[in-house]
Amino acid sequence: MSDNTEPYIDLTPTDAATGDLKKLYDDLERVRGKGRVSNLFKGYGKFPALGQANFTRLNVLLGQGNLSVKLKEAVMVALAEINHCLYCVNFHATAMKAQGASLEEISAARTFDPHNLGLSAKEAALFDFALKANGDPHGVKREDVEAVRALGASDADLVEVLETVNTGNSFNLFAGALNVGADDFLHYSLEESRFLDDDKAA
Amino acid sequence: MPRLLSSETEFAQTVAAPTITLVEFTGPNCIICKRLEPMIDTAAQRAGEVDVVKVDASELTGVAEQHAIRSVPTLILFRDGKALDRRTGFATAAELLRWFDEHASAEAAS
Repeated sequence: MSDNTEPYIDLTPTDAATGDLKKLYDDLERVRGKGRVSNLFKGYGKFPALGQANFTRLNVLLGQGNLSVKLKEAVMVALAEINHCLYCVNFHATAMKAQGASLEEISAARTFDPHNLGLSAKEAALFDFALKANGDPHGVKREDVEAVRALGASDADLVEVLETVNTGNSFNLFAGALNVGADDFLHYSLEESRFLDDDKAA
Repeated sequence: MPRLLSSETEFAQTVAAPTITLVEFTGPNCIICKRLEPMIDTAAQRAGEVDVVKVDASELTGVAEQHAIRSVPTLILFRDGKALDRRTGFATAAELLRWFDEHASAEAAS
């Protein structure tokens, strides 16, 4: 993310949205809660049909399939670290917490540590497989696939975790290149590796 | 971030250490090297006693030739000036840690 805190494009506020953009924002709030239209999707709102397509993609990825949302959010946290998308780390750390992850498990995702994510052996192996595919997709060997299969991963699981990599990377690219900035409803401190709003809740 | 070695002399002095040194042979425009960097940083931090350095194979051509570097990234573990093991291409932090552990265990057993 740039030091410049202003987004590079205009992000239409929710109360100014009309037509297809309003429909996109309404759909986001229906799924995520009032006031939780992320800056990423305000950026996509410049092309509402693409925004809808990407929101559908995300809902299919997180709402369907066999793998836990915690695994998929952990993969997205790790990718955000690799891509230096600080906003995305914050967003997906918050999503991991919503799935019951501890601060230690969030830190494990940020440091690419599959063994301390609180996941099953199969999902821990899929986390590492996802990072390997992200690092060099053409370097993945049949033995890498066989290793995750030996822990119970199906072909569908492989597709699901690889699509998590695709989605995370594409959102990181979009958020970074347009400098969309952090959402005001996110409170994860990257420096302190904790949630600042936990202080208020305590 | 690993330090970049700038001469053959510095390379020889560095890998002569009695503890394990990981040398990453890299090069300009190596995209996989960039993706590998956070994995190496994290693994080295967790492993503790592994010194990590980088060599630009296109700059230190004598060192690259001596160690038969045919592609980047190539990773070689050294101790006491001897190459213990090597691997090429991307690796995750967990894979690197397992690799370090294998050699640390072998060192402890010897």
